Amino acid sequence: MDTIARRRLLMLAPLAVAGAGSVVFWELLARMQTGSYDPHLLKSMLVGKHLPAFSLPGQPPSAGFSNTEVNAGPLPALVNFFASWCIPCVEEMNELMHLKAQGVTIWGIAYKDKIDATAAFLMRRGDPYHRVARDADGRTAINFGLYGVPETYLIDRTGTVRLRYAGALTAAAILPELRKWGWT
Amino acid sequence: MGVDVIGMGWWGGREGQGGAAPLDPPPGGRPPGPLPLRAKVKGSKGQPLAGVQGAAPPGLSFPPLRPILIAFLLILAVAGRARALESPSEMLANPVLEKRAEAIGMQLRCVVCQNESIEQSNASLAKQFRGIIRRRVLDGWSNKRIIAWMVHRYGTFVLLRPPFDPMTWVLWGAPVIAVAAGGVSIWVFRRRGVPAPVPLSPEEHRALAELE
Repeated sequence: MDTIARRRLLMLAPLAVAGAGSVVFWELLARMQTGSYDPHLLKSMLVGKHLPAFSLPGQPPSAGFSNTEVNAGPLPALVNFFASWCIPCVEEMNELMHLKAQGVTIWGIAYKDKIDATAAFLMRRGDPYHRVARDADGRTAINFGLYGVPETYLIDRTGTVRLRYAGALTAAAILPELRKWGWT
Repeated sequence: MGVDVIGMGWWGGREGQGGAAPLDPPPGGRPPGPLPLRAKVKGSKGQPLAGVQGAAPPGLSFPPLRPILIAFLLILAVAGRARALESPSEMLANPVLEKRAEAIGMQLRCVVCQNESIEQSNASLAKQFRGIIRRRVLDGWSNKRIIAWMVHRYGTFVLLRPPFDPMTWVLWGAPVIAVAAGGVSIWVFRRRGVPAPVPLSPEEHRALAELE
């Protein structure tokens, strides 16, 4: 290859790099649009571990519950953090009711919410929960590593957390996972 | 600076794709056409100019730029040293301990607004973490233990200074890799040497002789 041709090629190199970069960025943006890629998504430290110890008061008329009660109840189960003030929580309520109808055990934890507000929320949207506890100061949520509501944790038959789902849950997303971890 | 996205539903971003709703028609069935415009015209005390179309009349003033500029500069001035403590009551009375708490908070990422530290963010979760860190500092926990407490719950992602582990080898190794790559390429080019210039053709020799 003569010098001129090589120089031409070298001149094209930065352009090629920029082109490749834009293809990658385009793909990322496209995936962000469809929701298959979320740069804010955090890996949960709880996956593969048991639930952190907690014992929370109930949202009347429901009794509260603790981590040991979740583990003693029907498994696999879901633990769902929600709040009346959170929009995606409203969005996922129909899905949770659908899951309840299929016999999925969902433990609800009202995150930093007022008793009355939670009660009104459950009245309006339906109550898909096995029991509802209140995490008024959000300390239990911090021990879960929660960084937003809603968040849902899947606990398998051995009481091990297998999945953390951040955002509005869908039955289509969680049912295969439940089956994978022994739900029938 | 931090907005408490938790309250808005952190993951709610994909709902609002509907676009703007059509504006309501003004009451009283106003005839179509541009809205009456109140403009400051020199000498006149801002009478309504009904149905101004196209070109602006002489003397029509534009929104004053100076207040905007001043506001912008003020924002810049404040943004430089953003710390989000909402009130002095959040701070510890002991300045030494407060300094320590700040130093810890500056190293930890706010998991809600992910490019800010706990110390800088306005998210309610960050505020809560500031309180927890200060309580732990008062309880005599070491910096290391407080940070480990956070990492245990939220993972190494919360460390604004990433640790050296298999995930970050390339990141931390980047300077070494860059210097090594530069060194290798210099070595290769040196070894190859600069090609000898093509000897001048007889015409070029003649041209050179003419110049001299």
